[in-house]
Amino acid sequence: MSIRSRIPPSKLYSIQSCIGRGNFGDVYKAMDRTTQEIVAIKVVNLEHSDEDIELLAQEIFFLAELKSPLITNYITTMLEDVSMWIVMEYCGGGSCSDLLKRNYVNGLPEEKVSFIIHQVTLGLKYLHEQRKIHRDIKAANILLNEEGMVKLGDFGVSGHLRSTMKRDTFVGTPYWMAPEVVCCEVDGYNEKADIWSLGITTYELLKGLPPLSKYDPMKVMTNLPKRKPPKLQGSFSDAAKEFVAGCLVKVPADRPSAYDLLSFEFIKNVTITNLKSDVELIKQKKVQERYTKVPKYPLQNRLYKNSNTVRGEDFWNFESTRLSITQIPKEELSPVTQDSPVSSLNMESPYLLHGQTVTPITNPSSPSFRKCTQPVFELDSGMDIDSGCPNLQTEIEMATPSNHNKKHKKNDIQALKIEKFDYLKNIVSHILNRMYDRARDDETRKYVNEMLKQFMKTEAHVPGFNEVFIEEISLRIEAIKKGFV
Amino acid sequence: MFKKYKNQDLDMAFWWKKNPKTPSDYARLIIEQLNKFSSPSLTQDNKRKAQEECTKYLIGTKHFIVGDTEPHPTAEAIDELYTAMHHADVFYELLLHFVDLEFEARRECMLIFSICLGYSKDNKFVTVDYLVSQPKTISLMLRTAEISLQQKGCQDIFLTVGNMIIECIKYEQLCRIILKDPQLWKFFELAKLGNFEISTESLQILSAAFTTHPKLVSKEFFSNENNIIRFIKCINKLMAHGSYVTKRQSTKLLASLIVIRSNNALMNIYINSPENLKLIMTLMTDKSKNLQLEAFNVFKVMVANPRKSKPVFDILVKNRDKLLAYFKGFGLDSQDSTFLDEREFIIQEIDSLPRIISSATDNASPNNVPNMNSPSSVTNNQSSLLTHSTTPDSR
Repeated sequence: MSIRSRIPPSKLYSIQSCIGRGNFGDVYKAMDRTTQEIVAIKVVNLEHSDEDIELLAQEIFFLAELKSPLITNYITTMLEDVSMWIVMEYCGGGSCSDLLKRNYVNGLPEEKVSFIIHQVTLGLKYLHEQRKIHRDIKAANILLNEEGMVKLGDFGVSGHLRSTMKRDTFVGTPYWMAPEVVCCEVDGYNEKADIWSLGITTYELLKGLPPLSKYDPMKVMTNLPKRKPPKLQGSFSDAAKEFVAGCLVKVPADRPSAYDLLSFEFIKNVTITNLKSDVELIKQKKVQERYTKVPKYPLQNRLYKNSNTVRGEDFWNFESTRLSITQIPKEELSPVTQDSPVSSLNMESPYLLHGQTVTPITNPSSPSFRKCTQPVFELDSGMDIDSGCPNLQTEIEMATPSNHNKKHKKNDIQALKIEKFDYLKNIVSHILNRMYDRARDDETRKYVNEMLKQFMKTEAHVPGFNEVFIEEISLRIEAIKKGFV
Repeated sequence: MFKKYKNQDLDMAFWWKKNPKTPSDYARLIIEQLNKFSSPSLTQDNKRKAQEECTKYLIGTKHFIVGDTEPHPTAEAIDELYTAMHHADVFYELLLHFVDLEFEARRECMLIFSICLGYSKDNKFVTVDYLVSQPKTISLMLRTAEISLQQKGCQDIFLTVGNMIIECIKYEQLCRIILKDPQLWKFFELAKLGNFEISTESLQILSAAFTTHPKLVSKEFFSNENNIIRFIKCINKLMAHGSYVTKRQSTKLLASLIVIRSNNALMNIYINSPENLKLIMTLMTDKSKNLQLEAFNVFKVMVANPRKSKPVFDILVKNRDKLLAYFKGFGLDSQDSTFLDEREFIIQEIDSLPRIISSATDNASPNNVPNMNSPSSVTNNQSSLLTHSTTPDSR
């Protein structure tokens, strides 16, 4: 894919179903149309999200730096309408929280937990080596692919914003948060926070719920720094209890690193190699339940309904400087205007009026002010009008009058009439059609036709050309009529 | 099997082959491998080997530099490594061959670079000082970002170099070098590209460069009028023709810059141009509420300016009623009291603009041939402009 292309992602991926929804965005299962690869796409509606774009982008680029079989890998990000499409590796097996909800309401068997936690610990080791922090480790963020392999997911991309910054969206996460994160100790907050969450997650997987889950999350959070660390109790192995206790050490510096954890008994001797059978089971259950989700922001709801966005000139009255807008094709037109006798005599040529009206500069401190009024700053230099339209004919045909005349506004009242006025269609084309009819022979008709094509082509490349052209003709005629020449 | 020594695992594979004996060996071995890329007789196989070796030594260097090795390196050893890396211009050489490196190696390189930037000895940022004395590295870094775009899978490379640039910008002395490098302007071009990652990263670089050290920027960058003019030209293009995200981000950047007191020169030039006002007003009518808000943050400065230029004043006067109507529906759902105060102030300012009983309405006789009317309307408008042109001075 070219770096210049602006192919919308909806053309590159076919959306299959919505597999998750949230305040920060909906997640879809989709297929890459060229490679047939199945991907997960998180669509973040930037217009409805109060996430700072800059922070989101940093999160995404954070993801782009990671590549490992232990995490859900980032593929790319694209923009469509006002939404960011973050394309990620697809994990068809759902999350470990699905596993708890559907297969093991009272917790997973120890050997499965030790397999999952071993993989997650390896993933964290990788992440921490890259000097990155996940910040949101919990069963719901541990994903499984179709082969039943474990992958760390949903980090970065508002995951961390969600749990640490946004008040309204972090409900549900406090149970897993480390004490130092709750305290907002900026200095003491490092990758060890993930280790605490890993301990809570181990507890969650073994018991089915995180500790203190029957209490209000906000209360749990505020009490966390004061409390003793939760303890895994019940009929679990000593190794499991040791592991959880090892993670849940209040002082971050005393907590083991991911690397240290790898030699803990609990995850040292893993007997399972995948969770494929569980994944199959979940799949079947999902099919039976006709499991679907309804996206929060349906993709077809677009802010910019068509590619032609409303131009400010339609709304505001910029008419006095309108002429400077049409001045844009100056490179092409300037030789004509400069040689034009009207211009040189300082008649009402719009080209000169603008430049020669001596505007009292109210602000003397800006000597370069005149430079600023040069067309280089014009907003409407036609660059965004994709002149690369391959089929000129269709473009002209499609060009409803308003399309072409949008930027050429008269004063208010006239604007009402002129709004829909297309100089190319209503004058140039009209005139040439009449000339075509008046032509005596085919050769003349051919030349007339050529002429028309030339005007169309020019208009497509230099929007506003026809208007200026007609304007100049009428100005000249006016001038001649008034006897100036 | 043996018990592991102090839980030591096998990440130390690099110790086997050419075992770096002294800290300076890391630098030497990396350079040795990099040189292989320039060899004319480089086979595909050899290249792969050199790539792997590079990655390995870079990982080793990172472990050493953060003290992850057993036994922990002494402070002297780490100092020695820094000296050796600077002496051999390791970063420069790495950047020269950046596109030849593996994904992982480039990432390691970035990590090492940012660790090095933050390393200080005797209250001095050793690597920062080195880069200041050898500005060719930063210059190459800025160029590498652009060059990388010709490669396959260029987003990865671009993002990695981009992050290195952003890391540099955090340090004032390095930011100064970047602001002085003409290559910086390139990022305005790249911000216009269709690729989301590249355009967004480019804009991040620009935002960082212009906002991290406000004093530096106003004193040494916007003190030059040519820079101001060029900056306005570039940012206007982004605001007018960028993607939705580029438009929002560039407008936000502009708004944040012109309200900084020391950027007075930039503000004065910006807010007195009618073309800029038109652009801002156009953005205010964009369908995106967020973009409208960003544009308002520029617009308010233009309206609040007590000494508006005549063309700016004219546009505002001509749109007085439309603006008042616009603001009736603008930002109603906002809770932000600062914003609401500003909005109120702006509405009052606009309300106090002179009304025109324009001659334009007089000459608007029903006419079925609008085009024939256009030249005369031009003249009429001109005269109507002249009649109220005295108003700004009399205010």
